[in-house]
Amino acid sequence: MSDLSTTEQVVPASAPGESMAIEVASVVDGDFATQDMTLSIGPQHPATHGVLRVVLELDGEVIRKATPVIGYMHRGFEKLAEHRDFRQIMALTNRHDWLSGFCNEMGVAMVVEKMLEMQVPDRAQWIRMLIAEWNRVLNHLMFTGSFALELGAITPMFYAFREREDIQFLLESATGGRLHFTYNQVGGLKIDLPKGFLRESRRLSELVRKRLPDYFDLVLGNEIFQARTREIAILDAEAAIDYGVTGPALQAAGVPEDSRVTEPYLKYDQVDVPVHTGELGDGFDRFYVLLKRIEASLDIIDQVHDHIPAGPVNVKLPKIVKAPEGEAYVRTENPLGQLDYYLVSDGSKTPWRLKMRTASFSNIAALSYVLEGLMVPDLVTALGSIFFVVGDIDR
Amino acid sequence: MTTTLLSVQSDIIGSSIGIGDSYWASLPVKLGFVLGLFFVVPLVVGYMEHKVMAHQQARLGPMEAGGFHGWAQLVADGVKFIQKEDIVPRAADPWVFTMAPGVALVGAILVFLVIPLAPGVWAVDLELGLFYALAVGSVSALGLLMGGWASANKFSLLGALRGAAQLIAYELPLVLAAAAVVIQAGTLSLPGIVYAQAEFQVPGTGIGIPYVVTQAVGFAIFFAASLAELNRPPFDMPIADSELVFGFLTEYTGIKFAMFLLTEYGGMVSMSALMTVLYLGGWEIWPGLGVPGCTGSGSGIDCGLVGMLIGSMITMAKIFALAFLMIWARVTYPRLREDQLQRFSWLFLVPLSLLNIAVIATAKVVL
Amino acid sequence: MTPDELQDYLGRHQTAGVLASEVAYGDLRLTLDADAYVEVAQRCRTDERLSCDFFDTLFGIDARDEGFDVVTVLYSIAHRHRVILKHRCAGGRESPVAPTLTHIWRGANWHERETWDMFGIEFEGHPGLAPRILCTENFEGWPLRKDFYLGSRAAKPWPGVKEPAETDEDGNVIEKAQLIGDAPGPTVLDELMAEQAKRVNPRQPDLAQAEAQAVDAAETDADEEAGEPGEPGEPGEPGEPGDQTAVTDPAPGTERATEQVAEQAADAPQAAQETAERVRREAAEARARKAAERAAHQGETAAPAGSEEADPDPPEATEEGEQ
Repeated sequence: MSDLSTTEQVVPASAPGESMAIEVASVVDGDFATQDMTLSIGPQHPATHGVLRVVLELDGEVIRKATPVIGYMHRGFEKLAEHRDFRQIMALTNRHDWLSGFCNEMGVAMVVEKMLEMQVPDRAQWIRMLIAEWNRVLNHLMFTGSFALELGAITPMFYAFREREDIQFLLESATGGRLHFTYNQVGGLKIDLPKGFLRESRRLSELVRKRLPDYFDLVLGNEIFQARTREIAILDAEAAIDYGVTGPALQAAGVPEDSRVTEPYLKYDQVDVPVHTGELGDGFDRFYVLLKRIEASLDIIDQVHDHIPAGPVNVKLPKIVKAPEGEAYVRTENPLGQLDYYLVSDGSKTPWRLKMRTASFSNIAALSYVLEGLMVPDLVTALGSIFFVVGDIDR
Repeated sequence: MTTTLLSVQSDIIGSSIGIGDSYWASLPVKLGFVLGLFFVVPLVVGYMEHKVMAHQQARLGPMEAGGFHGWAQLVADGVKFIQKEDIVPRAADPWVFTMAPGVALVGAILVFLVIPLAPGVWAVDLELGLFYALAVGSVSALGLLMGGWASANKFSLLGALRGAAQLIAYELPLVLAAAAVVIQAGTLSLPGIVYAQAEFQVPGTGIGIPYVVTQAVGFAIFFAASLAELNRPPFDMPIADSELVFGFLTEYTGIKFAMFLLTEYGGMVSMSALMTVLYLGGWEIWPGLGVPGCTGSGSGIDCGLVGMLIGSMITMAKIFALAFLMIWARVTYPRLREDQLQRFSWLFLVPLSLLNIAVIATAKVVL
Repeated sequence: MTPDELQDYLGRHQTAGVLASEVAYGDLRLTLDADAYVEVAQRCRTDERLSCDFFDTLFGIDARDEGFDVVTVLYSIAHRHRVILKHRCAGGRESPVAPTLTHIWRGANWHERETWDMFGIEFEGHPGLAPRILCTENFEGWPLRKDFYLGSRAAKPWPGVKEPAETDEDGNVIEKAQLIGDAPGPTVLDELMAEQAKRVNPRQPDLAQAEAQAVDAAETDADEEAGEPGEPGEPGEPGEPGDQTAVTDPAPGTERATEQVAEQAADAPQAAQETAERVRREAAEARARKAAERAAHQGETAAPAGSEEADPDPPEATEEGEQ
């Protein structure tokens, strides 16, 4: 700050825009004294996908500094995991990124299987891929709708959710859940697919694919949408890698990094996984990559349909599951980005430490970098296009 | 002498009642007409919005209230708003906070004084009709500013400032586009503009040309500017519910909120009515063709009761068609950022409307 | 580079400060000296053959009496390899301290804040650890330390089958002191529920104990009887026999399931058993009656006299899905 500035402690009255004492910097510049306004977006706010709070220092409508404040949804998953059997942590993990519950569970099942050096049956691996990709489509459709909604286009939300309802019904027929599937278990899947699942899955894949061009034309192609997202909220590749940003945000910045391709797990090395990248890393590119990822998932689903072998879907587990002493690390591609589990075991029945490295945590860490110099409406573009789920940030 | 609602009525009713042209007797009739128009048509437009939006979003909309496809939804909403608790935030300025919706509402109602539905069916036919309508319509902007400032809420303040900037920016294209129409019509009186369109005929035939044909650009400008004046998407930055919670409306509940909403829908109706009159030929199905039930056309038109009813229905149909366009725009477009909005107005719409005036004026003089 | 190549490049003999290096489960893990931590991390970033520019994660592990460990996972986008660095924080359990990596990777910022929040490890040189990133601002204590007792278990004991963490090797419940007063309410209710559970599934507690002993006796063979009810996989539920068998038995479980059910049925209280049998008999008679009526009505002999359907329904075994 220049030497002309003074700072004063201001405790506002019951003004609803903020809730804590703030330091107001007033710059006396010649005869004209101005003050930066501190505005707190959240924790309850329509744009923040949950309880995320962003404290902005505004100069008019330009953001001078943005500080994300997280932790409103911290539920202590890692602590709870230390008190649960290796099989019980499944129900915990499908709740941090609740839009992609199956993918989270899958990661934790994989890390325990890795430590126990368990061979998961092929059929289970292929079905895991199938449902994980459907979960990815679910997740991305949700963000398609919500990003457009935040920009003011109220209609794509309904169409995205129409697709989602069909997919959720399909997954409910196999797993019993629409959001928290708890379908994985250590060693495979809980139960086999119901009869007719694959037929329905094929039909649905065609249906969703048929409706996808509408999003490209009517949302991506809309002039106002482009005016609101092109060259706005740019997250360049170098900063993204430095912060550990992954998923569509990283791919939009031009880096074709995808766990399914670089370190294939399950049977991803036997299918073709298309990876699309953007150029600039602005809001438009991220949305474009999001839609392309839906397409890619549908491609993978179509390939998986032809590959599922017969066989068992799970492995007989001993009554007491104990992992040997050691540390294992597993990296999966969650819809939102890279989800890692690092499991430390001391040979007992429960994990000694289970670290969940979630995609949204690192994505939001980059938020203060992205938001500097933007205007308040661009904040919405940034928040909507750096896809995150608050439960994933805070666990 | 211009025909008034009451003089036409006294023709029909006959002088048996002996009302004649008494000012005090005609006052309740005119008030009834304006208030009836204001409190019924916006509700119908509101219901239309519910249903049109719903069907464009692959859903049904209100189905319960009133039984048949939820026709009484807006009525039920009105009752709900009236019985809500009236909350004034502690830090708010109570007088300004309470008066703001009133100011906005009065501005919206007063426009209805000059709106012509059919020959003779209007409250008053001012010679400055259009000038008055545009001037009074912008009083609502004051209500918006008052509401946003008095709410003692940073989001409301941001919304009010954006709203004020937007309304100032879009007054100009609105007025300039209307000015082009006035130049072509030669009068500011709204019925006069309708007559002028009927008399602006294709040479050789008796068919008039509505000004939307000659001033399509002006129509587009007026339409866009009216969306901005009403804070409708894609120009709803002052409300912007994904950033500013609800902008200047954040702290309003109950009947005050309903008044703001009524202002918006009333504005939709009045703006659509103005567009109907200015560009679409008013109460005649096609300018120059007259109205079934009326003899003659143009300024020589003479209507009985049936003619008045049909003319009103024709105007209403055009109003609803334009309202449908406004709703369609809301459902389709995201919202513009307000600096893009300002740029759109100052750097694009204003020069375009000036060009429009230049072309029309030249054509008027030359042709 | 593959993990083995990385180990050769970065291992104990090549880099000062590396106390141990191990390739476990496909990843290279270096255990470092606390002083050499930043240097090695810096080298991972700047060395061209390593170029670990992607900051994956950083977190803490409770190392019992010796203090805390900090684990950093680094990844290279260009070379597609990973390095895991682990070091023990100086300062023991009382005041653990570690150097910061924020000057090398911006992404380390929030991860170090979280590690401080959860463990209390101070990161020297960090631009601002406070305010606490995940816990509330006035939270007391460091949650992920092992001596931080999980509050929810203190407030209300788990009402169902005891969790593995609360049972010792033999399946006995580890008695924990009741930390919250002597309020009778919830605990009394839990006891009632436990009694009720015992009535419904009388074998359950015995099973658990017997199984635990059996497994401990035959430690090497992990494929002991699976599929008993009361597995820790689903705590708190009395357990439907059918579901349990389907869960862990991949073979067409019909016969085994019937066997299980018969086993269960044999042990159910006498009254319940009799009622069940009476109901079954009546249902079978009703079906036979209906079948006879149908046959008389259609003038043909009813082929299946309903006798198959009179079996106690085996639980819906898993179907092989569509091929």
